[in-house]
Amino acid sequence: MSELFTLSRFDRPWALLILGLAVLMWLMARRSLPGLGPVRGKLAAFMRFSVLALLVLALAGTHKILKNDDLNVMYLADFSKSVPLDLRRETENFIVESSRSMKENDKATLLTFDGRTNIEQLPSNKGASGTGIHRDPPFPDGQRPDQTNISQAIRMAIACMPPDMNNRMVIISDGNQNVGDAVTEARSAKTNKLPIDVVPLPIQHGDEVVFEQMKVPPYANKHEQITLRPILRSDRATTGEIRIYRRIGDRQEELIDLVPDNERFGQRVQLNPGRNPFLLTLPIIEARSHEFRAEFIPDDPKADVIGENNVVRGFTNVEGPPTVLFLGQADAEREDSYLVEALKREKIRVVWKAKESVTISTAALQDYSAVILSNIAAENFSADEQRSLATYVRDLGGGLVMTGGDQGFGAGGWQGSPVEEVMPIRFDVDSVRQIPRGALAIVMHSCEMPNGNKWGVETAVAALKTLSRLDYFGVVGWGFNGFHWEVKMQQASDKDGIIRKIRNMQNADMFDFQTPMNMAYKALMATNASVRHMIIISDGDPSAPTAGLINRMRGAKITCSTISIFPHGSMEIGTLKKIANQTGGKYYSLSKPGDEKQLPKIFIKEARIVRRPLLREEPFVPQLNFQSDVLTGIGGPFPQLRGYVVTTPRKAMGVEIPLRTNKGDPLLAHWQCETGRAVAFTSGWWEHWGQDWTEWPSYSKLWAQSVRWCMKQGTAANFDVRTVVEGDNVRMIIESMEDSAGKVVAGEDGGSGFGDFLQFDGRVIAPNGEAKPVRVTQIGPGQYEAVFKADQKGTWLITAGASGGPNEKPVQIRTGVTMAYSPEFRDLTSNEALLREVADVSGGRVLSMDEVGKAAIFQHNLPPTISREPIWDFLLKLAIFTFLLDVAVRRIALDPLQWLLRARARLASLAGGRGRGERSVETLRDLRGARDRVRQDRTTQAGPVGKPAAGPSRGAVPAPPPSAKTKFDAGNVSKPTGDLASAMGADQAADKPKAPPPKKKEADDGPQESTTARLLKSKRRAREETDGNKDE
Amino acid sequence: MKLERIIFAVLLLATGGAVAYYSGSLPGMTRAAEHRFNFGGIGRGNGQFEYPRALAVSPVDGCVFVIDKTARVQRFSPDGKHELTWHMPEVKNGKPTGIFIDQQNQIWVPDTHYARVIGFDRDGNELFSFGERGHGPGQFIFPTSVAIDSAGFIYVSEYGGNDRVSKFTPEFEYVMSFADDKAGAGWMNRPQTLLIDDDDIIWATDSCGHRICRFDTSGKFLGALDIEWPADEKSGFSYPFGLDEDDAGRLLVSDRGNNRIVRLQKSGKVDGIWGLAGRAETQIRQPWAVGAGDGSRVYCLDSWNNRVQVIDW
Repeated sequence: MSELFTLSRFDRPWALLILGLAVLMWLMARRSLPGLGPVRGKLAAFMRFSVLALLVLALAGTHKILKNDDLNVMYLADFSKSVPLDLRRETENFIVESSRSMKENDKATLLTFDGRTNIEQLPSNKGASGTGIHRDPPFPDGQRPDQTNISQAIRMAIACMPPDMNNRMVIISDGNQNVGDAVTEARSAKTNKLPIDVVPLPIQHGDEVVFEQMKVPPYANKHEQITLRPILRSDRATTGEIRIYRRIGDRQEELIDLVPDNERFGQRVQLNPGRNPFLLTLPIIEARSHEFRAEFIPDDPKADVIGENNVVRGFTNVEGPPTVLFLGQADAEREDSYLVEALKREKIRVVWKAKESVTISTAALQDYSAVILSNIAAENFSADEQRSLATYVRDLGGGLVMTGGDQGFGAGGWQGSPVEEVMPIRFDVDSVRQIPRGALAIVMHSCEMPNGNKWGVETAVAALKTLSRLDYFGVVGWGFNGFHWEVKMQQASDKDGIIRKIRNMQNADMFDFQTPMNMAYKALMATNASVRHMIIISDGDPSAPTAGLINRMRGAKITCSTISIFPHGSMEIGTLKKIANQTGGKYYSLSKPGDEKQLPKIFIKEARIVRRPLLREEPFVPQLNFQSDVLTGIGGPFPQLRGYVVTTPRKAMGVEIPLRTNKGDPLLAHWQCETGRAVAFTSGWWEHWGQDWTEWPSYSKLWAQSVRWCMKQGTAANFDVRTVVEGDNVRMIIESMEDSAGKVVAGEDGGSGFGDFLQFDGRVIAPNGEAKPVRVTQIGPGQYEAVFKADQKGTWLITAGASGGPNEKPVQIRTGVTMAYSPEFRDLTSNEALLREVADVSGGRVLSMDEVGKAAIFQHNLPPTISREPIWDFLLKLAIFTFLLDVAVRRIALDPLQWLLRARARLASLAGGRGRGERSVETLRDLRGARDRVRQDRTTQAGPVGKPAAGPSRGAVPAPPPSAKTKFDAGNVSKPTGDLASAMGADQAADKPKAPPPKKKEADDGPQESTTARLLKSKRRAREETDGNKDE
Repeated sequence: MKLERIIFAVLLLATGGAVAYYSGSLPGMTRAAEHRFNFGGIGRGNGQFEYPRALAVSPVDGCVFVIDKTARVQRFSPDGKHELTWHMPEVKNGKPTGIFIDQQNQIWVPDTHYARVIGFDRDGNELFSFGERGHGPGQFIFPTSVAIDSAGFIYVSEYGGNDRVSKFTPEFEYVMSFADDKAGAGWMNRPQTLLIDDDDIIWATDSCGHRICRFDTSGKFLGALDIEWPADEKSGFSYPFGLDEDDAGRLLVSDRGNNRIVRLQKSGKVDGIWGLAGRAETQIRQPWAVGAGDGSRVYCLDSWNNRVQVIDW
């Protein structure tokens, strides 16, 4: 690496304007510096200017420019499942072996990727083993092997590259990307001057059978026969069996007996090379969604190498009578029966299920027209399930009813959840409300688990979101400055600000519970909360708190729950268990990989403890606020209720609050949330709060009207919908048909005889619950199409709604498509073209895994990197040093002439050749000559000032002796002018009758004498001695 | 002249101000010790560390041994050149937090999360292993440190509910435990490092008790070191972790919570303090351990910065 300096790169160039002070300094110098003499004066001025210049350059942020030709190679190895194991091993060896050719200052970085990217090695120098890769093969597996995302790997590599080195990326892959766009990222790499070399892996599977797709009708009616059309692609002629599995609603999957008269369940098939379509006819036996899974089992395993692509799925929506899903808790069936029975009385089909027995998914919810959540806490639902509920309402047009109780709304930890977003009320409380508060302190020691900091952040955020803005929240952690508040105990009024702080949290290895718990205890006690709670998350190996602290916590009714995460052994959990038991908290243990996913749920549950103040348990009579649709035919007075959960109305269009409490809080609220509807009833908990209501004659009517109001609309019957899977892409085709009466169904223009020019609002819900819009365009008369990329395995739901359909009725279309296996297993050859394009776009090379390729990896053929390094610290130190020199030049007078003479004498004495007397005489002559010249110069400079020096002889007032405080100064030296003897002379001394004569030598050196006087005396003695020598 | 004095004063103030402003990150600002160099850096390569937590200097050849959170034991020459790496035999439960080197150049590693002590030669060949999990006599929960007295007895400190020091014969037979009475003055809350000096006094860092304790070889508590802190320094330890003795018989303590290394006379008088918290070239963060090299050389394990700071002191 070589260094170049430049002054042309500044962070703050405006600071250079301060250099203007130099002019002022020059003017000052002209006035003040002549007294120092010409040389010192100029030197002093130069020094001071240098100090100014250095300070200004430091302030301006000057940089040093570094030129570097050291190379950092970033290996990006494709470890997705499409790369066979033998090629993966070859890749690993290639990486290790090619890194042997790196030079001493070169570095090697290793990233492996599939659907996600892992940094296996940060930029590292060559190790003692002679390679730059410090892992021995086999390298660890990835996290999403069923996908290939080259673009993310490139992005990650760009983020990792050291800025002061030449960087080269080497992608070793089969090129079969199924997520992201590598070429776009390659362009980004090009702008970062990062060439991407590619090493295509020659994938060529042997004989293979692939289940390309299975066409299943998206809609069917009960008892109808439907036809499944599986299509198999084979490389050669072979035989095997097709088996079909069916899942109805949320039931277990079952194998269908396709040949009842045979022992086999599957259908024998003969495959020819190429595509092989088949037809299978099956009955629809129930009015619920049907999911089919087809599997091909080859007779000869050699005819099929990849097993994962032998499965395909299909999905049929079977519409039945509207059904409501009532979700409660297992021990609350009796409590819920009041509402269930009331709905049944009103002829509404209700299915009550304990939440513990069902798993919620968007696909499973398709069977229901509405969902009722009856006094059930958020922790009973996973994050995915909560998202599914929100998606069901917002994107799939479903209805959602939530009723209160001690586990509903904010008191049930629903605050901040996706469900809150689709409800007509906010579960938080305005800061102006006077309600008792809760306080939560978290002792965070999550770093001991995999992705510990990430989980620490997620759990703290989950807990915070659950709290109201009135509650207190704080997080204690251990950082390099010791134990400290990651988030100071404060009211959670600025949640966004607190979340930002949480995201910056870097908790580290904690080894003592006493200090952080004591901090948390003190902070909790300093709040005016009525409920105080502490949560500790740790691996359990820090030292236990003292009994005194535990007793103080118990005395103050502070509960503490503990979560043990991946303890090193069984011993550590004792401390955590003990803390929880002693303080009345709960103990949780997470010890298996994957358990960490429960953390947010646990934190929400624990945070709920401080939410108790949200329950207002006092009798009240509901107040009619607004006669909305759900209250049609129902008037007051309303029966008394004994409690409710405090909430806040949502300030949004369409929110209606027909009933309020006596305090003005929402009791019954509803709204339309995008395509679905939601109803909130903040009381409930019928045996505790609503006994009077259950006996009220209008009870069942009100609930029937509320549930019917929010029920999902049926699917449009006069539209045919098909889905076609083409590679990773899914095409949904919608066709409008004539109505049953034979009447021409026309669009608004009445032109084509079909429903034309409809503006569909399309949405796609991915298997992970993520919803995204999809564009629906008209492609022909009454024909519409939507195309989207299905890059995840699982069921994709598609909805399309239009307001102005045939006969001006709204159109709602729902269908689904299932991706049975990852696109990773569909590609049977490598996509070298993509890799070549990546190399082309970024300016890289196409290499192979041979010796030439190995040698090329660390080839130093890239232009050197120019990087900048700030040098303000160096400039500042130089300025300080120069400043000291500046002071020295001004304050210390050195006579270069004296130095010269002494040096000359010294040289002469070393040279020898002449006697001492000769040298002395010559030296003295030189000295005298020099002295006379100096005297003459100074006399000339001093001018009239010199004249008074002779004054005393003419009776003038003698000049006062120099003050003892006067420092040595060139100006003082010039004053004794004219004859040296008279300047120092005895005449003057004689004119001072009052001056006491010196009694002894010590008195001459006394402190009362000035420096000048002492110098003069020295000179006089020197002269006397010289004269004596001369006499000799 | 008056104006000149004003400019002089302004320049003086500007210089002082600039120094004060940048003093937090100015390299080279150490206290009473000469920073020489550092080695390490984050990574899993040879010579790199991922959160190093144990360091010891060989009394025989001056080599420096470091164990990080990848459970690698790395050997460095006294001038910081990487020489060798080996791995601990098991890592699933956790990684070691201590290391000790005896006069025969044997490396003793308290394998903290496996409740045992493993001995290696300087080339990483395993020589012996002893200890098992449990609360009973001679058993360990989390062993942290090993020391050997002049008679060859082995002392092992541990924590995790068993906070105590156990004594073994040179043949690894259990002799006794001490500092285990929670009500006693000599009980230590997570004893982290043991050191036995030439007088057979056992010195131990009571890391969560924030003190240095002394015992004799019979386990008798001789008292905690009464420290005379200089008036201009923060008094008191905050999680003292590492402990070693230099050639002049002074104690070196890595005061982890205060991000500094403290040098003490055995009388308790503070003889010097080095270290400023930070990431800069000469600063340290969370020093877990300290080791005395030859002469005035001191190796400070700069755990959070993933390196070893080498100073002459």
